[in-house]
Amino acid sequence: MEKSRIKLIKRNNPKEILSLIRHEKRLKILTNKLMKYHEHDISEAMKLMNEEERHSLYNHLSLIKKALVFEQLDEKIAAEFIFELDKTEAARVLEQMEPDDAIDILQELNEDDALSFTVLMDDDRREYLHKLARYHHSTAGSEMNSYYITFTPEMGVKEAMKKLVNYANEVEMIDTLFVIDDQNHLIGVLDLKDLIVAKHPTKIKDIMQEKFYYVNVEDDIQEVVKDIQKYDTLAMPVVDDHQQLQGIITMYDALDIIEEEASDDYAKLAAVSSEYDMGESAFKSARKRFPWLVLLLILNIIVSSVLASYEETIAAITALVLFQPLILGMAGNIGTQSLAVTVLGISRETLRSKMNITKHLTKEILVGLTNGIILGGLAYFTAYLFLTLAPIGAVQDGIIQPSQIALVVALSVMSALTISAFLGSVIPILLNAIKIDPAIASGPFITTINDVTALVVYFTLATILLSI
Amino acid sequence: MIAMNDQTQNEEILDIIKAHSQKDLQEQLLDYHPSDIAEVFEILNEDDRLFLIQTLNHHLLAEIFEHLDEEIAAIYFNKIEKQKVARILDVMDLDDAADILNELDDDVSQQYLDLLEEETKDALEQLSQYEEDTAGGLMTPQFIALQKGMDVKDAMKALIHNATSTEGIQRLFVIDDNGFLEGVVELKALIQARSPLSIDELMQTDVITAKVTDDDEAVARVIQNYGIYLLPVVNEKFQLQGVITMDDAADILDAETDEDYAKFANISSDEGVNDSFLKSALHRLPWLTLLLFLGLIISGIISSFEATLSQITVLVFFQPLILDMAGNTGTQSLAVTVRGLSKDYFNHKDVIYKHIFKELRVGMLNGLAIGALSLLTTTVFLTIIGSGEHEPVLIGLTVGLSAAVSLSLASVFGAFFPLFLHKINIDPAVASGPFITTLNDILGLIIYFTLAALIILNI
Repeated sequence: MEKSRIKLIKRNNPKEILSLIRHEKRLKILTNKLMKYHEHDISEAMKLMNEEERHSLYNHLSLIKKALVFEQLDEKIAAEFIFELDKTEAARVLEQMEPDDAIDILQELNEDDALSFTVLMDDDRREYLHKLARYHHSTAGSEMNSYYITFTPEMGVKEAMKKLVNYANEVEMIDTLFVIDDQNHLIGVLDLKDLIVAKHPTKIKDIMQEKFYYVNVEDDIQEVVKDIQKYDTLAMPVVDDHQQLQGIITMYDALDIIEEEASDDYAKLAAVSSEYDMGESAFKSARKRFPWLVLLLILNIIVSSVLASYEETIAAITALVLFQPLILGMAGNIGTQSLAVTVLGISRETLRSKMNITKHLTKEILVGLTNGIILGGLAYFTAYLFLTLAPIGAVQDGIIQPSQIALVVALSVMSALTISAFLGSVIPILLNAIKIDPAIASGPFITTINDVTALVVYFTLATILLSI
Repeated sequence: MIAMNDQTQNEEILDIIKAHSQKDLQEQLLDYHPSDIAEVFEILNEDDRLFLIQTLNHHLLAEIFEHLDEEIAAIYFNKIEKQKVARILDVMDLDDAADILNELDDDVSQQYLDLLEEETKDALEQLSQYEEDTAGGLMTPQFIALQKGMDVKDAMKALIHNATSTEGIQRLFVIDDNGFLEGVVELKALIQARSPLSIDELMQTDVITAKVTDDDEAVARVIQNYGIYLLPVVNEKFQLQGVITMDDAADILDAETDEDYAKFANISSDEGVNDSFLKSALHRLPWLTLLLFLGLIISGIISSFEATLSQITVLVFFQPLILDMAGNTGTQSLAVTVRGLSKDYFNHKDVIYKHIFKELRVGMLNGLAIGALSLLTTTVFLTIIGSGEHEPVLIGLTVGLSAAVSLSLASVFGAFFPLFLHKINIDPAVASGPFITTLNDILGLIIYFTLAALIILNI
């Protein structure tokens, strides 16, 4: 069967590109072959190349293809690679790129470098970039682009179709078209489907939808992405405070933002400050992760102080130390579980109303209590067995019975698990209420809070129950 | 115009439904997006839900059901008269209809299928063959097909004729007489073309295509990476079966990242917010039980260092510090590694070695820095609160060295363990957490107490 031209999904394209650059000496053929690869694959391949190989790659790509490739690169990497092009060419590439991606790269550079590129750009583009750069990176304004087609309401469908045909190649997608008045106020959107089935002499105003969704330039980008997904919107119009159309955000943009946000939350849970990046040096990675560890070190001094205040208890009954990691480990885990469920709930918007929040908190406490009782019971027996089989310190001397310590362990597990489950769910909700990203609570903070709580519970119970 | 502000909108919808007006309900709800109505539906009580499904016509209901969770939708199918269900199914997007039918008992869904038009019935039966998490289960069979050799004028006619009944029209698909996919015509190219011109001239033959059996997450990633608005799906014989739209990919990616996140915290992502607390508790219990037993191993380790411990009680103060730091370093490398795996970074041996070696260096660098800091803070801390008979600086040295060594090791294990699990086909996101933590704890403790014995007690 000669169906070879249909490309089934495969994963080795970047490596093919790499070996082409290394081994294909016939320049014309190399150019032809390279231009056929998707920009995503080329951008992946670039990360595997050395500088010399990248130079030879640039020579074989058209300006537009280069712009597409740079759009695909992570902005930090792109900001390094851009210097491998000569100044004028770099400016052209940035000019051709989707404005929001170009801005991301320019903002990675120091001001002088950025300026050296922007002075070489054409005036309109530079102005649009300046306008976009003014929006905070968490707003819709910072992610929008200007590739869309507009009509006026009085336009006939024939004339509109002509305009569409002329400009189709310059825009990302033509499924959604926009209707503006003479002052650029957005007054309607038009589905391409309705335009192509309409017959002359219909006017645009007869077939446009006057009721449509739009967002403001200052709206939170994450909310916008959620709306795009919820309403299956292919292109969401972005307007300013005067209802003037400023740009659009497409579903493709939204897909990328979903991915970034997800990586973000995930990274916070593990206290890694940003996305994994192949090209990064060990030193740079270490420096990125270092602040979290310093924070953890400082937080742990608090834990040490708490422990130091129980010095007498610890010195009297060394056996208590045996079960400390066990209690901390379980409490930490249940806290993280509650935290993750809560953060997911907040991001899926199920935790918006007061009623739901109260319900959720009650539930998490009950979850903690239930598991606390079950595991506390289990911990009692295991700790009892452990100390009977391998008694140490005061237990060995017969001053304290294994059952006494087992009771302390069991009660501590029960209370620590309940408290941790509660803290794990209430902290992100509180943070969200005061408009701090709840995912920040994960990692070091929740660990330390849980550690301190669990240790206080454990050693206080021990001091009381073992009457030291 | 509607500015994005769902709160007030949903309240308006709720008010309209609560009014229970037979006459106006349909008319008033038409002003809202079916997705919002579906969202409100989920918080309605039983009476209101029944009133809604009895009052609305099949067109609006079809749109609402497309946005409802399929399990809930299936329950309410059973509460609507059969003829109406059939009418709803007839106008629904086929992929959504198939999802709901899959939730029903076979004989019930067969009853509905028998009431449908032949064409819809065939299409739905076809779709139900595919597993839910494959390209086949995700695709919709509604696309615009063009015959090979057609003139662009006829292609345009086909487009106009089918535009409103098709979800995505960004691309049109060229097939031969046997349904084999020949190529793709971009809508942009078609509207710019002038007759006479055969679409064969216009079509691209280099088309990225999914097979019906491809994994849905892999497909979603392809759509994201290549920015494909409509991805064609073919069967084993390369006959075109359907297309996957970009919004489906968005939903899959969303669910997938939630899943990764949840796995990392050892919860199950399908743990619903509406699950009872008992169900949630039991969901999370296995991991905690596992941790309890892994914790006992640690107890055993500490117990074997009793002699050291009973002589230097202050060691206990810094035990959480070392374990936390090592644990966190391990988790950091674990996270970047698992993330890299899910994005297919590690597809080459060299890349893997490079990664593990890099993580080792990251661990050593941070180990040295944190070790020095720990030495300093511990010594100061003990000088202030008093450290009994032992020199604060010796204990500080023990803590510092232990932190340095255990951080380096934790970093390597965090990178190595998930790669190893992946190699032996165990999902690294699920299994890594507790094991890596325990492993790091054990190593950290052994290093700490051994160094203490050597440095402080001179054994």
